Amino acid sequence: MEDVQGPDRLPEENEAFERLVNQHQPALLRYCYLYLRDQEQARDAVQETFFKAYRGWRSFRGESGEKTWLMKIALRTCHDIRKSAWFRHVDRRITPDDLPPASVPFTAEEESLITQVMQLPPKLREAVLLYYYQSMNVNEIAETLGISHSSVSDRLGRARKKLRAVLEGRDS
Amino acid sequence: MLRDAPDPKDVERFQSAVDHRLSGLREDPYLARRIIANEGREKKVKKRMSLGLALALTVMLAVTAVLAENWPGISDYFANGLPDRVAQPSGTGNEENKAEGTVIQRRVIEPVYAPVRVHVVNDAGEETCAFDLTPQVAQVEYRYTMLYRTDKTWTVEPDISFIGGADQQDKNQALTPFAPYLFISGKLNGGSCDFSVHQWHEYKLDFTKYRATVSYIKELYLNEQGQIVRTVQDDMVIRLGLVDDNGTLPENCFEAAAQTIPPTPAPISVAGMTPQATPEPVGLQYGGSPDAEYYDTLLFGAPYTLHYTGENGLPLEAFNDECTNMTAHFNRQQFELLTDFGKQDGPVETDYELLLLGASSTSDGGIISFQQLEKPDVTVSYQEDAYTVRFSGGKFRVQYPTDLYYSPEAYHQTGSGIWQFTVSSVYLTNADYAEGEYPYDFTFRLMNPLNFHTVETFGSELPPITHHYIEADGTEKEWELQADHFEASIQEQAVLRLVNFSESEQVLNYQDRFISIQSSAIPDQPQVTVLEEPECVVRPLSNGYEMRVTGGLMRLRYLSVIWRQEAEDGTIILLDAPDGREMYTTVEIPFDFTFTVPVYK
Repeated sequence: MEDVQGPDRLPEENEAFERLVNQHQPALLRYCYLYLRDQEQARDAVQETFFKAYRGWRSFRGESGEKTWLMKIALRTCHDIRKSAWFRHVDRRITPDDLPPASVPFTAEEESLITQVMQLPPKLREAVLLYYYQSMNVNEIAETLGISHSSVSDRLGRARKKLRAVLEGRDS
Repeated sequence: MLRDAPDPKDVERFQSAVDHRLSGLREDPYLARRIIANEGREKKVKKRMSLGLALALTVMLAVTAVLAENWPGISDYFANGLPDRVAQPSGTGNEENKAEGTVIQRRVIEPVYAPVRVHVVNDAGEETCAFDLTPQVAQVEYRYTMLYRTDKTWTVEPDISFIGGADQQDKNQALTPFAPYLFISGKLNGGSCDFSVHQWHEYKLDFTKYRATVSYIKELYLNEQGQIVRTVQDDMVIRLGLVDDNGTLPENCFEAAAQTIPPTPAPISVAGMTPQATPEPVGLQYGGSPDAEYYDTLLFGAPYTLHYTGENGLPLEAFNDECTNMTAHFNRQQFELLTDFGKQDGPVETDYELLLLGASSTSDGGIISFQQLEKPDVTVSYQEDAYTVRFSGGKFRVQYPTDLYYSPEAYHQTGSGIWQFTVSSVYLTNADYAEGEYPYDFTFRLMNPLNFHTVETFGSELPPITHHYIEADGTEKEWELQADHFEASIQEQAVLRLVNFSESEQVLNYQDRFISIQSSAIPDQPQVTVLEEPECVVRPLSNGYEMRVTGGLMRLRYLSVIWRQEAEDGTIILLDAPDGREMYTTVEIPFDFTFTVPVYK
């Protein structure tokens, strides 16, 4: 294979970066897809996220953990994409048939959960993803999104109402 | 009650659902390496490239991106292959050519194939072009090519062309259907595809028919054109390149972008075969999806023929070279021209047509037709590097088709290696404007100087044309033009702005999706999306409406794949990329334009 190495980078840095990408790309891709509801946009977002991460690699101090750091970058990237007129006006009502074929077995309940989450309004979906998928607490979400604690709670509360059916299905 | 932290069971369940149901999302196994490989080149990009937005008028409007026939390098480029200095590997180091403030830097990292890395910086004016291509590696089993990032550097300015033609246009004839084109042109070379987009302005004067005739702004239109040029040798490969006739850029810059539309079967061919030797199928044409949405283009046309008999007959050369201020007014009977050289007036002796607006769909949906019913009065002034043109008193008839939509097409010209991608579009205003006859009265300004650069294209088939004019002392002089026609190209962008509309009672602001170019008919067709919503203001006018779109950002994203194998005999086979190894290239294009639709009820 070719020896690909960016300038001014130590080999160990690139190795670490490759590990970072390989480790977190699947989760980031799924996260971006859930957020953007578009595979190609999601791949763009992931690529952009890692571009930014690579550029900022040396400034990353490890204070928040790799995953959280990447997630914040991805969140901003997705946010930018979502702001676009194109994105807003594309009909992205998701049905199970719109989801990419799975490579592992899944249940109908899991599929229902995914589609319903993806049908949430963006702000609610954003909060739900951070809360349930990224396992962030309310304070972390508030910090990540730059909103207040109460706003996060409000969004999560509203999201849970919209997801009541599927959640109750779980509970039952 | 919402907990501050999520219930671990909920988290587990949610993550499990996502991981299971979305397990089919394909990752990019080479993402890290591509990013690492790309990192170094990005630092070479000096500044943003300013291409002119064309998609402005793509959308309605148009990019004029074209391959200038009157540019020898481009002509050669498409006719015969890449110019040597770009097409042929010239070493592994950096190269730099300088000429009149223009700098082109090229870096050839891998000499096995054509240049794989091109940086072009045009320091003349404000234009900068930068292309960044991933290095090609010769001795690897497979590889990606191109990952290039222009860092939001692409714009394509709205283009305006002035083309004069024959004078024999029938009065009141319906406009020729006008279809905009987006030229995305490229030529593959040894595993890569060069393409170019060129915009220019053209102004032609035709002296074939009249004695002492000035043909002034024979036509004015906005368009976009696209073309893909490639050999059959390398159907699968894309390379970005930048080419001109002598290795430098003109002052007004020349930018490039590329797109390959892979054919259905793969592999395509083997390196070493010449394009001519490789059999090609007959021409292929891909029609666009009727469902595709698109906006229209705007066509301005204003062909005039003036006969002047003023005392200060002005040689055209002087006018073009020295005139800095000009005001012209002409109506159905006469015209008056005020310039730095004095005043000229005289009768308008021939018919002229004013083509205001045209749009068409080449595939289906009908054609909007416009028919000039009454010629308008026209005032043209040129001051402070801007033209102001006012049309008043005219009337035209418009006929709208019943269904209006956009449709892209791609055509592969047999034997020539030329692909042409055509974006045809129509207005989306059908429902609100019935067929009818409409008067119009509007003014627009052409901002920025229109620099006239004479292109010597004198022919010899027709006899010399003699022009007579009268000097200030009353003596009659002769001026002979040894050509059948004269062409002048305006090689500087002109921004069209329509201003001074008579009535603007209400401003309607709205935001909407701007364009969408998608078609299942063409595999891997570039996706055009709007990243940043422009401010779009529609202002009803008494005679139509005006739309101003500013601040938007468009993304062009297209597949750029290379999959290369080296056979046992050393030949190189280019294959389609397997799943999961596609490489998409993204170009982002800001746009900013204004246009009006002079429609009357």
